[in-house]
Amino acid sequence: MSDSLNIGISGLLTAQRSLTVTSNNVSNVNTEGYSRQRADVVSRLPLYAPGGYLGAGSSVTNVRRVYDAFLNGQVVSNTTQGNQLEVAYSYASQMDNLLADPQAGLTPALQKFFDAGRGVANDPASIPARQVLLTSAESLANRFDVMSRRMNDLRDSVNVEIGSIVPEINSLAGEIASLNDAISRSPGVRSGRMPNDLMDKRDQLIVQLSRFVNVQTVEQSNFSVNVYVGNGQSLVTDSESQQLSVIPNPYDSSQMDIGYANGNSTVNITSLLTGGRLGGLIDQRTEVIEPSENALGRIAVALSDTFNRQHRLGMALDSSLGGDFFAVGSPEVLASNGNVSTASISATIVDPDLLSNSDYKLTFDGSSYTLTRLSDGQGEGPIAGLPFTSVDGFRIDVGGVSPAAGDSFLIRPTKGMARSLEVLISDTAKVAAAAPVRVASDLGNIGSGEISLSAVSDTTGAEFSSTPGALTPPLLIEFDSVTPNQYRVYDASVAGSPVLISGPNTYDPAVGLDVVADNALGFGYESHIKGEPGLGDRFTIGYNAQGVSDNSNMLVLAGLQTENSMLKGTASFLDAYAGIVTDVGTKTHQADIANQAQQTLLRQAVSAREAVSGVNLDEEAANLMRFQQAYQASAQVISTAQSMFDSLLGAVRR
Amino acid sequence: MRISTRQFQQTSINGILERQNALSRTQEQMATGKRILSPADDPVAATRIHSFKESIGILQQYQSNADQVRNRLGSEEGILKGVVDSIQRVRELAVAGANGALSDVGRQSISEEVYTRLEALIGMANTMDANGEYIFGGNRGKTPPFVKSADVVVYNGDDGQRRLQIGPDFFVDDGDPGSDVFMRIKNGNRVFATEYNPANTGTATIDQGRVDNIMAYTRHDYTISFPAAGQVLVTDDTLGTAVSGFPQTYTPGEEIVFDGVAVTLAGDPVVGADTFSVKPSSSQDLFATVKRLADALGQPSGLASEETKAKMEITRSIAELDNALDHILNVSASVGSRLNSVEGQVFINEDTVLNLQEVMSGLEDLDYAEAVGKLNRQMVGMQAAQQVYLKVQGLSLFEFMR
Repeated sequence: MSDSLNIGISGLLTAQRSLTVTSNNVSNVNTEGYSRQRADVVSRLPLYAPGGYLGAGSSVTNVRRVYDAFLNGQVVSNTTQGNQLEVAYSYASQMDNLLADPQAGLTPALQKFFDAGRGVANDPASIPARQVLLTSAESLANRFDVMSRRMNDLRDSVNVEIGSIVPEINSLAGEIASLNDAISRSPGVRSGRMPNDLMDKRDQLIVQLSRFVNVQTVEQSNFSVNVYVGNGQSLVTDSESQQLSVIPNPYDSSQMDIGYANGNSTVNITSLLTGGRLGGLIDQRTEVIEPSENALGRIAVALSDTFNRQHRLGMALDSSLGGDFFAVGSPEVLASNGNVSTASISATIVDPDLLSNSDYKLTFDGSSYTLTRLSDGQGEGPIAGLPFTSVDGFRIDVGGVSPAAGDSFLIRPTKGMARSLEVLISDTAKVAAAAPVRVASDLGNIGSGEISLSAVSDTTGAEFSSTPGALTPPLLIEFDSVTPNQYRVYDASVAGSPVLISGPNTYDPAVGLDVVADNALGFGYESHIKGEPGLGDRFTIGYNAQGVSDNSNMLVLAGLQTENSMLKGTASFLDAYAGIVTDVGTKTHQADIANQAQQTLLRQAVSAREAVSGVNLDEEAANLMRFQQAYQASAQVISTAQSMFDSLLGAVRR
Repeated sequence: MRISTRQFQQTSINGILERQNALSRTQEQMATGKRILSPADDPVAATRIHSFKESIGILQQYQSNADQVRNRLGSEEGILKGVVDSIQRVRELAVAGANGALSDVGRQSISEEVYTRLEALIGMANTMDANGEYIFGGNRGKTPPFVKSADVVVYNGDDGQRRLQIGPDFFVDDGDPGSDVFMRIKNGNRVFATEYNPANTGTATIDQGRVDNIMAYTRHDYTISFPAAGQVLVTDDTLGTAVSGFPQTYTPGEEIVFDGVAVTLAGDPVVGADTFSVKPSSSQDLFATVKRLADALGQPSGLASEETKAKMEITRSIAELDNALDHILNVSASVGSRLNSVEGQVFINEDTVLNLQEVMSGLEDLDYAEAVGKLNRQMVGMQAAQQVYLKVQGLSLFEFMR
C-alpha cells in the first residue's frame, strides 16, 4: 500500500514536472531562439520482492531542449550571407538609382551641353547661343559635383554604419562571454543537465552576431563556445571577450576601418572581415562606391582634357586664341600615416584615354619603387628612381625629400576629379568657335584652284604666339606666271614685298598640295590646294581676324560627343557613363537575385530549425491533456492507496 | 514534417508580404508606363535605352540644324532672285542704250537708272540675317562685306563657308561667301577676254572671240597690233616674242587665229598706235560690270573713235551681264539642290527617330494589356492569402479545450 502511495506520489510529481515543462513551452511559443523542451521520464529502480521485481514509479531525470546543432549552424551561416547581400543590394540600388535617374543622371546634362555646342556652331556670332553653352557647361560641372557628393554621402553612410556596428559586435561578444561563464559554472552541467534557456540565449546571440559579421564557433569541453572572426582573430575565449575598434584608414583618415587589439598594438583587419552587414559594407565600398567614383572622375578628366585640347586650337569671338574651357584638380596622393619620411609624391594625368578605374599603391623599399594597381594586383616596377613616366595614363614624381624604406602612398588618379571639375570661361566672347587660320584665293585668280584649311593641330608654336592676333608669318603661295604648275611660298609679312620661303616647286593637279607639309614648314596647321590654278594665281594664308561667323572649331568640339576618346579609344563620354550604369545595374541585379535566393535559403534554414525546435501549440495542448490525465490518474492511485489504508484500518478497528 | 506554430503564422505573413511587394511593383509600372524602373531590372536593355536616347537627342539636334539651314538658304535664295531680276533689268537697259538712235539725254537717263540699280545690288549683297550677320560676308559676319571705295566695290569678307551637320557624316553649307557669288565671275568668254587699249584713236573693234582649239591654248597674254597698213601682228607678251605666222594680212571682219584663239577685228585701226589685248579670262565682279556699263552710257556722243569705244563697252557689258546671270543662276541652283538634299535628310532623320523610338518603346514601355492581367492575378492572390491567414488563425486545439 505504501508502495502504491509512493508510486502514486512519483507519478504525481512526474506529471507535475512534465506539465511545468509543457507550460513553459506554451508560454515561450513566441520567444525568439527558444527551443522546445522535453522532460526525460524514466521508471524508478524496481524493488525485489518475493514474486519478482515490483516497479517503483517514475521520475524526471533531466529536462532537455530539442535541438540540432547542424540546423542551428545553417541558420547562422545563412543569416551572415543574407545580411551581407541585403546591404549589398541596398547600397548598389541606391547607386543604381543615382546613376540612372533620368533627371539627375549625367546623360541629360552631357546631352544638353553638346546640344548647346551645336547651337553655337549654328550661329557662332550669337551671344545668347554662347551664353547657353556656358550655362549648360556650368550645370554639367554642377551635375558632376552633385553626383560625386551623393557618392560621397554613400561613403559617409558606410562609415556611420561601421561606427554603429562595431560597438554592437563588442557588446554581443561581451554577452556571449558572460553566458559562457554562467553556463560553465551552472550546477549539473557535468552530469549533462544543461541550463537550456541559457544555451538558447547564447545560440541566439551568436545568430545576432552573425548578422554583423561572419563568425566561426568552437565548443569547448567546459561547454563554453569560442568565437572567431576574420582569419582566426578570437572574439570570445571562454569568459573573456576581445574588443574590435573603429580606426581611420592609414592613408585616408576620412575612411573608417576595423582594428583588432593585439597585445599593445592595434591591427587593421578590415580586409580580413567577410560576411554579414560589416562584410557587405566593406565590399560595397571597394566594389561599387569606389569604382563608380573613379569612373565618374575619369569621365570628368577625359571631358575636360579632350575639350580643352580642341578648344585651345580655336579662336574666340574677340579674335584671340582659345584658352582652357574646363579645369580639373590633380590626382589625390595620400601618404600612409606610418611613413617615416615627409616625402611628398605627386601624380599628374598625362593621357586620360589610358586611365584605368583603379587606385594604386606606391611602395619604396629603400632602393626601389613598386607601383601596384589595386583592382587586379598587377605591378609596375620595381624601378630605382621616380618618375614613373606613364602608367595607365598618369605619371608620378617625387618632390623634395626622398622617402624612407617602407614608406607607402595611395594614389587615386581620378577619384576627386568629378568634384573638382569647373568651367574656366565666364566671358561669352572667349568661347573659341572659329578656327584661327584664314585661307583665301586671290580675286584675280584665273585658274580653278581652290584652297581650304584642312586642320589646326597646335596653336602653341611661334607662328601663333609671337604676335597675338596675327599669323607669323602669313603665307603667300604664288603660281609662276610663265611655267604652268610651278609655285613658290612667300613670307607675306611686309605687304607688297614678299620674302621667298620655298620654291619654285612643282604642283601636281591630280594630287593637290598640302602647303605646310609639302614645304616642310612645321606650322601647327595644314591647308590644301586642289584643282588647276592658273598662271600667276595667288593664295594667301593668314590669321582669321574678325572671323566671327566661322564655326569650324565648334563643329569639331560638338563632334567630341560621339568621338571615342576614352578607354583606349573605344568609348565616348556617354559610352563610358553607360558603362558605369551597366556595371552598377548588373551588380544591383545580381545582388537582388542573390539576396532573394538567400532570403529563401534563410527562411528554409529557419523552417528546418523550427521544425525541430519550434513549439507547436496543438502538440502542447495534447501534451497538456496527456499530463493532466496522468496527474489525475496518479492522484487516483494515491486516493486508492488511501482507501486501501482506510479499509485496513477499519478492519483493525473492528 | 513537424510545423511550429510560429513558423505556421510566419509563412502566411511572408506570403502576404511578398504579394504586396509584387503588387506595388506592378502598380509602379502601371503608374509610370515603364517596364524597366531602374537599370537593375534589365541591365542590357537599360544600356541600349541609354544609347538610343543619345542617338535620338543627336538626331533631334540635326533636325533643328536642318531648320536653320533651310531658313538661311531660303533667304539666300530670295536675295539671289532679286539679284537676278536686277541683272535682267540692267541688261534690258543695256540693250536699250545700245540703240544708236538714242539721244544723249536718253542715254544719260538710262545711265542714271543703271547707277541706281548698282546701289540696289550693293544693298542686296550687304543683306543681314535675323541675327545681324551679313549673309554674304563669309566668316566675317559682322563686317560689311561690300564697300564702295573710290570707284570700285571692295570685298571685305572672306572665303569662309559655314557648314552645319544635319545627319551622321552629312554636312551642308548654309550659305555662300560673297566672293564666290558676286566677285568671282569669269569675264570674256570664260577662257580668255579681249580688251581694247583705251588710248586707241581708230575705229577698229574686237569681238569676244571664240576658242578655236583648247589644246593649243597657252593661257599667255597677247597683244594685237598693226605694224604697217594692212598688216596685223600678234605678240606673245608672256614669252616676249611674236606668234609664229605673224604679221599677216589684216582683212577687217575676218577672223584671225593663233594659239587656239580666234578673234575677229573690224574697222580701221590707226597703224602703229592702236592695240588690243587677249588675256586669260579672270574674275570681274558684278559691280564693276554694272559700273562700266553705267559709265559707258553716261558718255556724251562725240568723236567717232569715242562712239566706237562706247558701243564696244555696251556690247561687252551685255556679254559680261550674261556671264554674271549664268553665274548667279548657278549659285542659285546649288542653293536649290542643297535645300533639296536637306529635305531628303530631314525625312531620313524623322524616320530614324521614329524607328529608334519604336525600338526603345519595345524595350522600355509597359505592355498594359499584360500588366492589367498581371495586376488582376496578383490582386486575387493577395485576397486569397489574406483570407487564408484569417481562417487558419482559428485552427487551434485550444479552441476545443473549453
